[in-house]
Amino acid sequence: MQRTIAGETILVPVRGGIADVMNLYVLNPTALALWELLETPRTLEELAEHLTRSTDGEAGEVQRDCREFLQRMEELGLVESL
Amino acid sequence: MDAFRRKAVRNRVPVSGMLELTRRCNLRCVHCYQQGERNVHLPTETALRLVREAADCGTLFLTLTGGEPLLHPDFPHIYRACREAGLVVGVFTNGTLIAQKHIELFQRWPPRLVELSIYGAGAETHDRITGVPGSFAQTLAAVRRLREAGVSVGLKTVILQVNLGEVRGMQRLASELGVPFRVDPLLFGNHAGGGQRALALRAAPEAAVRCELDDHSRAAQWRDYARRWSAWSDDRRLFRCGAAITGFFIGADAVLAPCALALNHSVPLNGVHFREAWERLREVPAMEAPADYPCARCELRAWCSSCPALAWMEKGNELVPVEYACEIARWRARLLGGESRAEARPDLHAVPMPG
Repeated sequence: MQRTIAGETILVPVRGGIADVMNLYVLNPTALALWELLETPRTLEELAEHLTRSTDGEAGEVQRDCREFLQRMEELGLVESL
Repeated sequence: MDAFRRKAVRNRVPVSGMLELTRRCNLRCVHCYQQGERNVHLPTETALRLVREAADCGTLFLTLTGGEPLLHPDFPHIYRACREAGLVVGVFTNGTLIAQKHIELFQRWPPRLVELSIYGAGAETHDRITGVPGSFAQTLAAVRRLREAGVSVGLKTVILQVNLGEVRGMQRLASELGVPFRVDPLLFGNHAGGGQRALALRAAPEAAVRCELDDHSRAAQWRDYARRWSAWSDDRRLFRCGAAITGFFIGADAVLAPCALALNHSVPLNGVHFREAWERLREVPAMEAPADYPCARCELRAWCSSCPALAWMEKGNELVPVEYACEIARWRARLLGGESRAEARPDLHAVPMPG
């Protein structure tokens, strides 16, 4: 569940295994933007394109950041590849 | 999370609280600080409303406690509502009432920690303290079942004269069970009712502190706290913790307090939104200690776990020292290497006038 407390966005695992509930995840504004985009399935390229448009980042660098973010989210079981 | 915590303090967000679901308990522990009417349940509708309202105000961590919280007839419903509201939930329980339905509930909606109290390394001492034969076996069985079910579970104890010699045994037991264990050396009393009985049950301060510091991580925490203390020592506030800044306690009689002990600052919650009651507690963390507050000048304060709330609970006066806590602090300072300055100085204790 996504909660906003004291101006921070926090992901609170509500259901799942014991390991999941032991961690909370605080999202920075960029991560929050990606997380919200991921409400519907997106490709890596779509996410990177969105982020490149909304930031001053260089396209290759932004895509690399997005890939790392998605990998981390997947490891944590917060997103899954389709 | 550090940035989050700093923001929560700055904005006075009630991030972390305790919810006392009931004052009833099925054990009769000799040292219990609960006094007065015990047959008090927080009505389910009130509990559900307060959970929703607290979550809306930014509560993230909530511990369900009692009495024995599982005696609340709607414990499962309230627990689930907490998790559905996005709260990270802990449960303080004696474990004797944990049934299959609770285990399934915890598996489906995992708690951060279910923490059970034990008072001895074996049934004889534990059951003597709880006043209920068979309670040790029930508590241990609950730990095993929770552990096997993959639920996060831990054990805690408080040091008394009668279990002092069993603390290491309890530690070993926790290790064998594969669960964390923590020790509280500071048994406190209650100025009301028969709450002074607990004071006679306290272990000698030196022995209690030696037991506490057997846990090396606890010793390291105290050293770290004492090191950081100098940065806060000019702070004039009476309450120096997070009470009523990020922390709160909801009593079973539907009151909001800064913590479970500072009930003298309670404000009503019946018919009152959590936000409004929280706002009414705003003045508590802003209170300044009076010029003659003895603890403000105490050099042992960096080693002390007492506070105005504990003093109020035990003495009925938040501005007087709790002598046992002073001795505990003195021994921490001595054993952890910070006592020399305090010990070498002339000492004149303020003693409140009788009556």
